[in-house]
Amino acid sequence: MFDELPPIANSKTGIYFDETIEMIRKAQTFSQIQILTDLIWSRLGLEQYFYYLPGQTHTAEEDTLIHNYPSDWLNRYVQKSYVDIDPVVILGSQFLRPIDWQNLPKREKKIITLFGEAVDFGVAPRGLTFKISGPGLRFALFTLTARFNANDWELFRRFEFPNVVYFANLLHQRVVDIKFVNLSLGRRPVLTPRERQCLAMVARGYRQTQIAQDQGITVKVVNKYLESVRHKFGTDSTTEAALLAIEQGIIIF
Amino acid sequence: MITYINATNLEFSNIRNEMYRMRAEIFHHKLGWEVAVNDGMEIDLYDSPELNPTYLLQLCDRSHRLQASMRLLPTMGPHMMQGPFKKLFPIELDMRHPNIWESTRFTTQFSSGQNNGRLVRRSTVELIMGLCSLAIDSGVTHITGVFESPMATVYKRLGWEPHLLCKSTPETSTLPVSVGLWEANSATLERLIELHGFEPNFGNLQPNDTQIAA
Repeated sequence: MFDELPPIANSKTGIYFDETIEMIRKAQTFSQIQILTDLIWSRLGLEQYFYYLPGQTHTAEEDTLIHNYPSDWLNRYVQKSYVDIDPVVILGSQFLRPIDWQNLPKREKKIITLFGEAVDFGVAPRGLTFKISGPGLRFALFTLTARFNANDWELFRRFEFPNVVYFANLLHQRVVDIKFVNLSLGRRPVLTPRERQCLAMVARGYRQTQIAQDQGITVKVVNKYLESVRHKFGTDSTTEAALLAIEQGIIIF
Repeated sequence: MITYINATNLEFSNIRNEMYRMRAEIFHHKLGWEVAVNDGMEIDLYDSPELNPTYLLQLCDRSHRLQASMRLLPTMGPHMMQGPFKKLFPIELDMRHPNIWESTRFTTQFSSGQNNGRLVRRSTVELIMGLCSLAIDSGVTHITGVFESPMATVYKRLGWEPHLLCKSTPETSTLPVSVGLWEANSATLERLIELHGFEPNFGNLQPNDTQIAA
């Protein structure tokens, strides 16, 4: 459905936006993605963008960043470990709703310092950070900034923002496709029939004692099967394994 | 009053559990659906902290008593249409889109008996208004969900009619259900406000708000 449904028509960017969308589907490198994003941003009158896909420790996958932030700011941010206290990152990861920087509580001294420094280093004052979901339980954070006045910002939020959300998701899909091809990740795990049955019952909300009884095995054995499943999906969480298995059609719920 | 929480906010565990209990009451005890109920609460895979869904809540303005709720998930991540709802329909519907959220577990506290028919409508309408408002703020343009087919007329009366995407067959589901796609934009919200004569009231819950007994 993602491939067929275009973004909503109510946009001042018109046909140029559609053409650039097609181009991003064919981007082969992060730098091509960057060039296209710069183009769209200049058409929309936006200032900066920051795409952040957190890496995964258990596969030694590093963080992926695509952005046009001033490099001095990035260095400063890393040097001060701002990622640990940045409310934009903390809240942005938790909520479905985007974080509008102007609505953030800025009472703590370190937060005031953080935002003050960002402006000093050239980050535009108006910002919006939102979560991009998928594949599975993975997500990326996307930030846009602008120097709009209050009225233009409201207009942007209401009429252009859905298109930007659409574009950011396209960008994310492309990054994931490129990354996973390069890292040969995303191979579908193969489960044994028992593993599939146990996982399907977990998905339906059965407790381990119930699964053991239903399958005619001990709880210890159920745990062994689930441990194997988690290992195959590369996760510590049985829930995550179940959700991934459903998404990949490995178990039918 | 409208507010929202997610599955991991520890400070709102009371109202969240109240919602899970309300769901058990309606879906299991009243409607007899096949849902897992443990310790009096209906919680499934899509409520898991790993997925961290958002719950939109409608509360009594004065007492903050929970009156209606729904669960929201982005269709770009795991959602029910991709999982347990798939088998209910004769065709496979791919609802994944960056501007579409899925709404599930829509519950309202009151039974639609004659005495509190108006209360049902008001809590439901305020919840829907809250949903449109949140969607507009989040760059979302449509909501999708599965509903019991006879509910189509109720949605029409409420002034929020869905596009019907698919209906179940007697072979795929004993309970007739439909997949709907609703518009959620400023025009939708304005129409609802005009039709019902009130605006949604967004508020904040105090951490582990104690509820006044009704």
